Amino acid sequence: MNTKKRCPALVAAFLIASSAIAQGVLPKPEDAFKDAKIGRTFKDSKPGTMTLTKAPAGAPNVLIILIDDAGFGQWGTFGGQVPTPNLDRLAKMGLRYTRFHTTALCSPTRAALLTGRNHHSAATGVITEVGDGYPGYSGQIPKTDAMFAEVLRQNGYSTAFIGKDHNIADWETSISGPYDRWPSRQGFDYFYGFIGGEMDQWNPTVYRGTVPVSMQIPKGQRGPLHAE
Amino acid sequence: MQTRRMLAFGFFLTVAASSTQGIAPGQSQTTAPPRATTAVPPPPAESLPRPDFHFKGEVGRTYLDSDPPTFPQIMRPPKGAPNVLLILLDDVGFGQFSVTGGGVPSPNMEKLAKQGLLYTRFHTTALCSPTRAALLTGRDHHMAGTGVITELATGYDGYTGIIPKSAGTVAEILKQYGYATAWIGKNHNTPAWETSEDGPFDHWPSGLGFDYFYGFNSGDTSQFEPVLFENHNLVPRSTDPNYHISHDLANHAIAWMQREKEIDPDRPFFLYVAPSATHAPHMAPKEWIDKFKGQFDMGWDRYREMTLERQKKLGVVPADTKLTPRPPSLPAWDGLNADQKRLYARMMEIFAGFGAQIDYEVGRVLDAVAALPDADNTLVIYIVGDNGSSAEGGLDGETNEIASFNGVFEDWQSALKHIDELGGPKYYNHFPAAWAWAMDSPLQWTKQVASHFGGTRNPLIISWPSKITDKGTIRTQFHHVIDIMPTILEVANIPAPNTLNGTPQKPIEGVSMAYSFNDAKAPDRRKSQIFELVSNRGMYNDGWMASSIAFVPWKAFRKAYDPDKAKWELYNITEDFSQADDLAQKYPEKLQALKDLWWAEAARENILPLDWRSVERLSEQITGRPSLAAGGNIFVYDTPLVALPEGSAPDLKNKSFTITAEAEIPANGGDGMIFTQGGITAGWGFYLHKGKLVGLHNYIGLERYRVVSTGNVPVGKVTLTFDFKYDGGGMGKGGTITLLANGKKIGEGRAEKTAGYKYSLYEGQDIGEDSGSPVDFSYTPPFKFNGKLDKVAVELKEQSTVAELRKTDAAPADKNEKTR
Repeated sequence: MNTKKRCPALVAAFLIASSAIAQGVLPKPEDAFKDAKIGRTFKDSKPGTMTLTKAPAGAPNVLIILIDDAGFGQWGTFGGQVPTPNLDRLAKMGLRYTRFHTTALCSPTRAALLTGRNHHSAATGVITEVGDGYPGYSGQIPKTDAMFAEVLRQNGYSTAFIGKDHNIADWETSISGPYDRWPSRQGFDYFYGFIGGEMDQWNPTVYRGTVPVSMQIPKGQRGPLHAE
Repeated sequence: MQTRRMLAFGFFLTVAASSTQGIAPGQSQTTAPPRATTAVPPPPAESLPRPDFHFKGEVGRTYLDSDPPTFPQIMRPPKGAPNVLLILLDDVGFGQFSVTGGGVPSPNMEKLAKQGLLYTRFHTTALCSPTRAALLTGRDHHMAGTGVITELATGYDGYTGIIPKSAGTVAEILKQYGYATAWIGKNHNTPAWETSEDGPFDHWPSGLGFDYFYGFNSGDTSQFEPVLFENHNLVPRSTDPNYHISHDLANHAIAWMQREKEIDPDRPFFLYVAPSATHAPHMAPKEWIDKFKGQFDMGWDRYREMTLERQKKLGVVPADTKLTPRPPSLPAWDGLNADQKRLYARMMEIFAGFGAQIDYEVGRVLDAVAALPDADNTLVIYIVGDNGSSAEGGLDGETNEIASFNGVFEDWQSALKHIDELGGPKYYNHFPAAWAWAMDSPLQWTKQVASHFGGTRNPLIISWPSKITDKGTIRTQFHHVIDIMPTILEVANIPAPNTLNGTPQKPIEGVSMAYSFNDAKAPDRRKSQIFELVSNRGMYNDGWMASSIAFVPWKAFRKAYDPDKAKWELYNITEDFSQADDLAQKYPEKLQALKDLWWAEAARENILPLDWRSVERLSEQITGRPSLAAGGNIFVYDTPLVALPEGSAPDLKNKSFTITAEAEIPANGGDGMIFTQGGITAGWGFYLHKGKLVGLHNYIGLERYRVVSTGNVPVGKVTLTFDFKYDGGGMGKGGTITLLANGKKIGEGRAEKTAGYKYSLYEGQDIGEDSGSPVDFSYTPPFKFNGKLDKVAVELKEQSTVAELRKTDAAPADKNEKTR
């Protein structure tokens, strides 16, 4: 909620923006300090400019909401019987798309959403629990199908994932990792949610980042003189 | 496919059989043996990450007419790759702990050394972030962008405070070969402007190859009231009244290690434990401090003599090692008065308690390692200090380490008033420079002084029960902290990749030390090493060392210096362990050759330009360092926000500002924090206390300028304002604090001085409560605001120009401004 004036930064970002959009490789090369002049001591040198990565000028905040298991005729906004005044309000402020489609299953839709590839291409032809070793079905989203969150993040966005993650291969869901296919390694700075297809709504197992929220580290033996 | 699976199964049976041999009598036999999995070690990779898994069989139209599916296999390091526990203590002298003859008992270090090796000619960079960057990357600290601590970063390649992607870490490589990786403790390798919870996280531990992080992102921390992060997230304040960070970090290290082995016993781990001890503030549980009562009354001069005697007896230094003399600028113990002796001895007792405690806590981690099913195949690398002992406490010691970061050194008379409370949570104390010099016995100088071994020579203990047979012996090969990464890679049989995550890698400059594990007499494989830190310069080559100190470390403002006129010394360190005999006059050509080599290496290693400025580099305004808050004048906070690092928060220093809060005060009166920056070390507080409004500046712990409203603030909705009108005229000047409720003045007073450079290294800005330590002692954190805060706005007003700031900086009174 920071309303500080960012105009000078935005101008700079605009100049960088065209190259950012055309860029083919991430991560970007690091600052080379081309404007630095290096002498023998600081007195005959000029430091280079250290820049902050900023999103292109005008890049909007993006909020994506994905509801789980909902029919076309379920909500009031689309003629259903379940009242959805908040959805109505949003629809009034924006647009309703009525010929929009998903994959017909959970992990696949989510993989397709986050990677912009068909679900089989993202190795998620089916939910992770029933994945098998065919290329379209392993449940491990390949590195060749990067999530757009990663692309946004590397272009200066803050990114977060709150809620359901059903895109981690079954054998990689323990807190031992590897975390390569957890949200924190797929482009999300922050994750708060659950791993798997469904969750008890009253007593969920929730993670913050990669750590179970309820986990308590044992205190160990107290008393610093214990050694004696 | 069938055959391969059986082979893999056979391999794991072998591992299971051999690992059970390591279980000692009396140890738990109930631990499950490693389980058979389909995991196989990968072939070495030139480039990481490896390509994705691809199904190699025939795919038909349905599963019925396709080859059987094959899953990607679980990544495992090469067979026999050990667990690696890397421990790095903070600010420790060569002659500090008993393991190398020092006066602070370290039974756990001694026990580890008996099971392994003690290296006595191992070196660091003489400063914190630099050593840590060099350790993790295997490159010289300047090549790792970390020529100095992150808070002093400047826009030159060697000094950005950013570890470049071209200097990938050992953790990243190990992780991509299947290691589980964790970092517990101090992280002083994230650029200051990236340490907020908003990231980016590329240079947090998670971006540097670590699966798990639990620790602090700063140069130091209160040991009782730290601000900690778990991965990317702030850890809530502990509710344990006996909380101490050394204990907490050990608990987390043990828990992580045990968890990993319980979930996946086959997978080796890389655990990096970096405690806050024994860096200032010297804070320890009272029981630990009290054990040392009266033990340091002999003073620092006698301590050095006693330490060298013990060192000779232990064989950690050659029998002919000389005790280097005290620099003229440090006082003789015998010349002190009784009060000074009482104060300084107490400061040393506190320090010793803090040190003995960390030996005990790390000992608990080592005990947990010993209880692992594969304890024998665990490589422990224990680096006792990231640099020499710290002389940053100035000649008289300090009750607040941050005072020296603001260019102010206290005198002993003021510290003496608080003698009974030092070591506890209220004071950020640091012992006098002469004690640091004594901790470095028998060497010259201290932390920061990279030219001499008092800054760089740290004990190193390596243990690996199944592979190191020459147990309990000493190694004297000359090595440097950059040699640790290649050592780990060699013993794990993992090659460093040429390309890592898309970035071509700079050459690794370290050389593996594994050759010395079972050969005490093996010739040195490190032949040469350059040293540079805030213009203190050293060049080691083939048994000789050229050394040139630029400034004594207890000098905060550093002005006149000419690297071409600076004096150089020359030592034959093969025969002269402590650099006692300067041979510069005797071998001028030898010295000249080393000086020339220094400049050539300096140009190659990103060491130039030399920069000897000290505290003024803390200023973002002077250095132009990025800040999330730079360029803004008005900052509005709608939600309570805690632990925003100082470098990412509005910079309140050396300027006028106004803080306005839209609040709702409960009927029984307001109480709690509205806005604060800093804590016990320095900073601002704007809070309600028993219905009254308080505006406060903590001037580096020496004065607390506290303005209290004349009456209680009205209940219900109210606009509360803290206005500070800066006097101007340079850095650290005073100003007028005015408190208002609904625009009506309800209090006014003066802050005669303000902290002009830094409030705290570890705690930042809080709204709605106070994380970390309190700015004064009229309340107890977290001191949550008991009403409702709708909005808190900070407006920065007129400020001094860089030229004005520089003017003040030129002439501070510095009583430590003594020559050598």
